Amino acid sequence: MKARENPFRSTRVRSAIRYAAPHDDPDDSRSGALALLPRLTPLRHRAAIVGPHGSGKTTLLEDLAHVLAGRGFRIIWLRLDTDAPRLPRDWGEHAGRLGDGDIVCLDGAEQLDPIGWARVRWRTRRATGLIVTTHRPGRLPTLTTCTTSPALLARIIRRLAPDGPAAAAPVAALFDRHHGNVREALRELYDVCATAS
Amino acid sequence: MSALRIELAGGRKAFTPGEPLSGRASWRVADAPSSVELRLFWYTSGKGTQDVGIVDTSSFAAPRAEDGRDFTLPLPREPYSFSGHLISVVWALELLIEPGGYVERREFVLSPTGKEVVLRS
Repeated sequence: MKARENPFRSTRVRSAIRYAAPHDDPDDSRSGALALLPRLTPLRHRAAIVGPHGSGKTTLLEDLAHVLAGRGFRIIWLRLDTDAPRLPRDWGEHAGRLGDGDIVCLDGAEQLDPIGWARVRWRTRRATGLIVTTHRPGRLPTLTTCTTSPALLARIIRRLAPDGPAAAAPVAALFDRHHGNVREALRELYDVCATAS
Repeated sequence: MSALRIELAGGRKAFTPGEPLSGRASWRVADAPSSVELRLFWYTSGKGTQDVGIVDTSSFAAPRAEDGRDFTLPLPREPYSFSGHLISVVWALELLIEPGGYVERREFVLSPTGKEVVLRS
């Protein structure tokens, strides 16, 4: 199968599947993000989306940023991961201009050491908000905790590939093999489809 | 009701490296746009992170709510359109209209043979 036709290609997964809690449908309505809005204001837009690898934290933060941008906020993204665990060098310069109406979305806050985290909190103090994703609670009040389940994975698979070899995959074993990491499970199914034909 | 369209000259769907890409972009939106852009680009699709290379961007001056403009863009020599198991490179034109975020995309093949190069393992 050609990569651009693979039902589990990364662009399709990102566009077709939005964040869904285990009992919700993984549709594209951004309903998960909308449901969080009433909780953000009492937290002064300073909160954390918590969860393990592949549980949908980044997708949920992207959905939330999209909703907030639609309500007039300016979104400033910081993306950290194991390949790029540090803040960009010009971050301090940008941070100096943060102010009312700005919300910083920091994906991967667990990458920062305590000093880096303290620096982010200080430099975003004048911004309207700071919303982060992180693997463990504690850095900011928890806005929500992302979890996954075999049933959720099954619904995502049915949505992306209702037919074909992936539809017959034993979902519970797939879920366990990747310790609940839905992203990695979908990557395995990409390989299944790529080599099946 | 909006309508955006990209037509390639002669209804072609494939081009050879270096030749000009000609066509017409037309649109109908509610109000006169503040900007109308035509982008020539390639993107990757597959297992990993997506890469995008914007090769050319053309802006149409003083666009009306219902309008159409001819375009000719020089195509580069590479990368060729290709597909393997892990990655595909896809060429496309995109018409972007603001405000409103209207987008129309037309994909095409760029290769010496006029067909997508298919890599088999």
